[in-house]
Amino acid sequence: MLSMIIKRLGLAVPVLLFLTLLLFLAVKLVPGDAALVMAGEKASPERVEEIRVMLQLDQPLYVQFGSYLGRLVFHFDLGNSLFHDRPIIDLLRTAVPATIELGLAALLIAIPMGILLGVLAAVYRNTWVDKLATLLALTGVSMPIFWLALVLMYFFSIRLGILPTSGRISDLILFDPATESITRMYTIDGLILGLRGQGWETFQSAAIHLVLPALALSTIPLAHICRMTRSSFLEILSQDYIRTARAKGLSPWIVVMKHAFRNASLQIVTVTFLQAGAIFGGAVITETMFSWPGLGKVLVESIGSRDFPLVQSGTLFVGFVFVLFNLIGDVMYGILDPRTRLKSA
Amino acid sequence: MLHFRKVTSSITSMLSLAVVVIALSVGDGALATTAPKSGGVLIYGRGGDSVSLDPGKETDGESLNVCDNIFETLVRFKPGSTEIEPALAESWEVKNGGKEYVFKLRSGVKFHDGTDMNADAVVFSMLRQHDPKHEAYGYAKSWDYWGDMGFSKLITSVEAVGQDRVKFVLTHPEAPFLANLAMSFAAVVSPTAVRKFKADFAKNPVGTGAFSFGGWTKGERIVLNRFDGYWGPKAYVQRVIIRSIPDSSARLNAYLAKEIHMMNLPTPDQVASIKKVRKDSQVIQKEAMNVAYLALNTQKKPFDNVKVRQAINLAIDKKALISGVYSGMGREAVNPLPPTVWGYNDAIKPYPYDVAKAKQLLAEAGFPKGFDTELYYLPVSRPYMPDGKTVATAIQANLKQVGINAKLVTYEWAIYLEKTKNGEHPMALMGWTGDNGDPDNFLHVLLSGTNAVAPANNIAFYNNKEVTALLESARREVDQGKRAELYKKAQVQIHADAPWVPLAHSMDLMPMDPAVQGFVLNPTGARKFDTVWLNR
Repeated sequence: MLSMIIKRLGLAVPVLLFLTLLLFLAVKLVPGDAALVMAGEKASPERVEEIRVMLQLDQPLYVQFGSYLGRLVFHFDLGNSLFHDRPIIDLLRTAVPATIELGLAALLIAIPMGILLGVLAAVYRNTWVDKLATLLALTGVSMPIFWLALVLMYFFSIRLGILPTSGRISDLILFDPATESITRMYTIDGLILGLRGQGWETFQSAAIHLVLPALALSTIPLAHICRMTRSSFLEILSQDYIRTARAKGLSPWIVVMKHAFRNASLQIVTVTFLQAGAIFGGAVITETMFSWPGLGKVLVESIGSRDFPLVQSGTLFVGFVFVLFNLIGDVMYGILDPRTRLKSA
Repeated sequence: MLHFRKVTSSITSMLSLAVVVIALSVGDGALATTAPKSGGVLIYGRGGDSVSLDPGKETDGESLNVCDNIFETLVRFKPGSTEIEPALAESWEVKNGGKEYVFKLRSGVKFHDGTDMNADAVVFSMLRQHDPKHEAYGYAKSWDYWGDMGFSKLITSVEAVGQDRVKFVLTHPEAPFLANLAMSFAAVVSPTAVRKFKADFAKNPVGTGAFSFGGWTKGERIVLNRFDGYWGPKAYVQRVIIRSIPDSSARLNAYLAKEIHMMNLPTPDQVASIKKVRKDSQVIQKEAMNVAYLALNTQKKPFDNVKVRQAINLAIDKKALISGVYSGMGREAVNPLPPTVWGYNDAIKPYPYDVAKAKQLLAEAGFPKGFDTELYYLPVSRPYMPDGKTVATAIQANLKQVGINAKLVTYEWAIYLEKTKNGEHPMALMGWTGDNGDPDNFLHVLLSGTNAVAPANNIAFYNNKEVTALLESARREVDQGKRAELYKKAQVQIHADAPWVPLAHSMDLMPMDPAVQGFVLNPTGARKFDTVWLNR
């Protein structure tokens, strides 16, 4: 098991190195003079030159890359955001918990719903249940999130007036995360405040603000999990040992839940972790639409403000998260399926 | 933690998550003009967060709009205009032929931290941006506006004369100086707070304004509290919450769902749907202090010929452009100056849309069949020009009628700026947003011969000696009446020489909940909340 993890980790290193190089070059290949863009329309030529020197743009590419990699590897220094004028790691520190909170909420919807729909679709294959689940899954994958977001806002906020359109917490609750937040995940903070007897308003407000973005974000993973669950269950339900279980006279649901589930879970876990990797790397559209100040929103804004170091390091961080989740998925696969462990040993 | 005004609450369950819903509604009062009421929370929704809250450091609107409520300057723009009035300075004298300004400070003004605003504080606020040896100079990477407005070269010294007077000595007389002092960057900051927070002052701003800083959650909201120790008329609302909602459709939804009282920067289409869905909304509008124009590169053939430039002015149908591209939310430009800026020459009549006359002028210039050229258009949406490509397409069609075949060309924004500043274009679309409401900030920057050297702001590379001389003398003249005359004269010549086709001045729009009263749109784009009250 351990050797497998080490092997996988070993594979992740060149992937990340390559990604670092690719991102570095991509940012350099963007046309236009970064210094001029940074300085703005009204800046003096001296100021542009000053920025050029500050960004090391006057140095050869390999020198720039070397110093970037050096700071990254030896000091975990992602650099400074030009636009925000502070360390990128600071920005990530506040953005990442927001993304995790939203991502967890979305997965909390997507995983149980996806599996449930997938199992139902497989068990009631070719009936209306199956068709409905397929339709839902197809809609989930193909519907643009920005459109879904607007429809959800229109229906739940403007028409029904029961859910807020955007943001993380009500403006009227004076919750200052800088001093009051423990986890930077407002629902969890609210839970802690509530349990301490300081009132449940923070939790309530944070929770209702989470509903629409989590719903919008859950559609794609839900669809993937549903389809994967359905196909792996269909494959397993036709196996001999399932027939044996049925022949023994076990109830159909015990056969499905006890005998088929563990084997089917392999692929479900894989697809779930792939989806989670994408979600925790920042849900760009959902976060922007719902003014959710997570990683995705930070990245989009960094592109808008032409904050090159932030684009570069932020994307690298997203890549890192994705690789990490793949790794966890692989390890989970190993735990669930002893055969992979034996092979790697 | 403080909670107040929970309006309605209901419980709903959704999927497996049981969640409690607080439906939030902000004032539904009818439109009425009664006496102003104090109290309440104003929620303002905008597209972006502030970068920092140090007015000396930042140049973007979203930062300065917040700073303008926390800080004050020696002189300020009257609400809704660009006229200068006393603020932290009660009065001032101009001496030594315009090279010396002495400001007498208002007495009894306190900063939000309780310390006194006095001559030392003013000197501190200026020198921290000016003098590299100043203790606070290093707290910002650069003091952009100070440099951009030419203060680093213009100012020789700033010194306290007693406790209540401050003297500025300039290298040469420069009339826009006073207007520049009304800009956000020249704000007076609390030296005690700067010494305490150092560079982090930008996250803990302390000024003398009608609102004090009450907290900032990055990417979410900034809270401003009414400052009860304010020297002037106190603000009405107890608190202002400045929300950032980057997606404009989401911002519209937040407004329609009554989560925000005001929605900044709506598109004309959105205003139309607001008027349909929230019929009780008030939508106020004002011409923004900007100009969109087509610059004709006077250094390149055939645009060196004044007849060709005039012909192009005659060939473009600006009215159709305004109703099409600006959805009517703009005004046809006649002069390079927006009409909201003093010194605007009303006497100048616009070039009419006259295809026959344009053809005739082209023939006189030796191009009876027209010619082939290129038209550069903006790759990004700017406040003065929401959609460069549509503008360019319309102009292209107009020019085709007089035989001019313009190929549309564009580049990535940074390259676009580079190329136009270097004069590579024959014709280019461009625009400018004014900084200080002074005509100099448009005419001198964009059309003076001194700025026609690459990399130039004068991208028509217009170099008329007479105009340049007029603009230079207007810079040095202190009397505003005399300056206005000089600018009016310059506009006549510019109109005749036609280095631009002035296209449009866009409109600043603000949809507001009917409860919001007393809000004024400013030509400078400033958003001030001290006069706002809620009719609930």
